[in-house]
Amino acid sequence: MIDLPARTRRVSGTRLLDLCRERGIASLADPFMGLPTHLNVLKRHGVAVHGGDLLEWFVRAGEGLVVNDFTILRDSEVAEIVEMIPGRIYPTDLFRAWEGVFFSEEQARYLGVWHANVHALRSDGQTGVAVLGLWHVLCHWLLKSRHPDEMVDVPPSELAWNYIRETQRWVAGNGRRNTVRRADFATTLAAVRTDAVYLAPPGRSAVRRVDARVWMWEAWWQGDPYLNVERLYRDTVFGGRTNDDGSYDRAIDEVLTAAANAPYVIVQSNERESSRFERLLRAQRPNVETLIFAPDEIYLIAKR
Amino acid sequence: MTVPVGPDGALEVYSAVGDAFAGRRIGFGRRRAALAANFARHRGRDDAAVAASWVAGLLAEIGCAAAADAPGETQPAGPSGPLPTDPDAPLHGAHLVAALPGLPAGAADLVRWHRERDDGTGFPDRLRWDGIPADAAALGIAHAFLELVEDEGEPRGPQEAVFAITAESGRAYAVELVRAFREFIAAAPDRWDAPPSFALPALDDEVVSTALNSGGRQTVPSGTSTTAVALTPCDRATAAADRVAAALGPDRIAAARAGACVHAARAFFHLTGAPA
Repeated sequence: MIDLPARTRRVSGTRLLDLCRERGIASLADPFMGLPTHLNVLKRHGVAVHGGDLLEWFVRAGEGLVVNDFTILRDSEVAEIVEMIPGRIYPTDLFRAWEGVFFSEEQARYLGVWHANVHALRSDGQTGVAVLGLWHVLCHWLLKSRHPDEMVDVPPSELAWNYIRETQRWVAGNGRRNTVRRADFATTLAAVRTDAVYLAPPGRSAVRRVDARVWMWEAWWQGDPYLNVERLYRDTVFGGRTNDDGSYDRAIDEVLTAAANAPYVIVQSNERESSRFERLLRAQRPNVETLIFAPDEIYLIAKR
Repeated sequence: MTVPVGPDGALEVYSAVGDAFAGRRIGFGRRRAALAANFARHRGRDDAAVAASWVAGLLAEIGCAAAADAPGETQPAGPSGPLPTDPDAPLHGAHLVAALPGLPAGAADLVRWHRERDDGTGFPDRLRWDGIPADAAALGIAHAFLELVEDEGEPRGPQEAVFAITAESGRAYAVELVRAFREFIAAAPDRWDAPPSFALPALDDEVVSTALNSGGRQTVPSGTSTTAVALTPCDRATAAADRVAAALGPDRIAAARAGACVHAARAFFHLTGAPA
C-alpha cells in the first residue's frame, strides 16, 4: 500500500491576500507554485499572479486556473474526457505497471483512457481544468486504497465528471495578465516584474520526499508510469546530492538574489525553519517583519 | 448607542446575526458551538482549543452578514444543504472574529477554514488533507451534521445525519475525523449539544480590562535585534491572558491560562457594554 504522508504545507490564498492588501501589493510571483490554488484565489480577488514550477502538470493546472479567464468545458466535452469515445483506439495498458500495485485493473484502464482524452483537448485552459479535476480522482483512489471500508464506491467516470465540473467552477478572470511557466525560479523571476515574490521554498531533500499523489500525476501526464521526478530537479540548486546546511542556504540565497527587484519578499515558513530564513533574508533586506499565525504558518515579510 | 447585553451575551448576539444572514433558525450557531466544543473535548483537545472551537462555532457564519452585499460567485446547493452565496463568507467571518478583541487565539482561523473540504474542493482556500487545521475540519463536520439535523425541509435523526457525513468520508471530511465523530455521537447520543463546560477562573474584571487595553504590538527577540510583530486581537487576548495569569500568582497560572481567553472576552463585553 502506498504511503500518503501527512505533511501537506498549508498555502492559503486568503492569508496571502490579507498580507497583500495590508501592503498595497497588486501583483505577486510564486516561483515554486506547486498546485496553484492559492494563485487562483489571489487572481479571483484582483491580484495579478505569475507562477512557475518544474513539474509540468502543475503548470498545466495553472493554465486552467491562473492563465485561463474564460474557457469552459461543456457537458459533451466533459463526457468526451471521462469515458471512452466509440471508434477511438486507446492505450489501455499504458499504466498496466501500476495495476495490482496501486490501482485496480479498471482504474488503470481509465487512467490510460483519460491520458489519451485529455491530450486530445483543444485548448490549454480546458486541458488544465481537466488535469486538475482528474487529479482529484487519483487522490480519491489512493486514499480509498488505504481506507477501503470507510469511503463510498463511486464509478470512475462519475467521480471524474464531478471533479472536473467542480474544478471548472473555479475559473475566473481578473482583467489582468496572469502567467505560469514551466521553469526554474530564476527564469520565472526574470520574466516578470511584480510587487511581491512569495516563496515557500522546497525543504532540504524535498525532491526525494515528493508526495506520491504529486509524482504519480506527473507520471500520468507524461504517460510514463516509471517516471522519476527527481531527475527534473537534478540540475537545479535544490537538486544537489549533498544534504548539508551550507548548500541549502546557498540555494535559498540564490532564490532571494533572483527576487532582489521585488519590493516585497514573502517567505512562508514554520517554527523549525523560520530563523534560518530570517537570517538569510536579513542578509539581503534588513527590514524583516515576522508574522506568526501558527507554529506551522509563519510569514517573514522583507521590504526592500 | 450601546446595546446592553449580559456578560456572555454579546457573542451569542453576534452568533444570532450570523444565523439570520445565513438563513438559519436562530440558535443554530449556539448549538453548533456546543457541538464543536464537545467534539473537540472528545478528541482530547486542550481547554484553549475547546474554547476556540466554541467561539468559532458561535461565529462561523457571521461572515454571511458581510458577504450579503459583497459581489461573488454563486454556489449551488451542496449535498448537505444550502451554502453561503459568497465563497468568501468564511473569509469575511474570519476578519470579523479577528476584529473582536479578547477571543481565543485561533478562533478566526477556524472560521476561515471550516468550509474547506478534505479533497481540496472547499472554500475559500481549497486547502486539502492535513493542510486544513484539524479543529477547523472538525467544526466543518459539526456544521454539516447540525445542518442535516436542523434541515427544515427534511430533518434527519442523529444516526441518519452521521450516515450522511460518513458517506462524504475522504471527500468532504478527513477519514480519521469522521471516525472520531461517529464515536463521539455514539458515546453521547443525547448530549452532543449539551452546553460545554470551561474551567473559568474567577478573574478581576478590572485586571482583565486593563490587560486587554494594553499594547497592540509586541517586540520579539530575533537574533541580535528585535522584530516588531503586529498582533492580531487573538494574540493580544492571549498575551492579556498571560498577563492576567501572572497577576494572579503562580499557583493559578495554569487554570487562568486555560479559560482566560473566554473569560476575557466575556468581561470585555460586560465592561464595555458591547457591541458598541
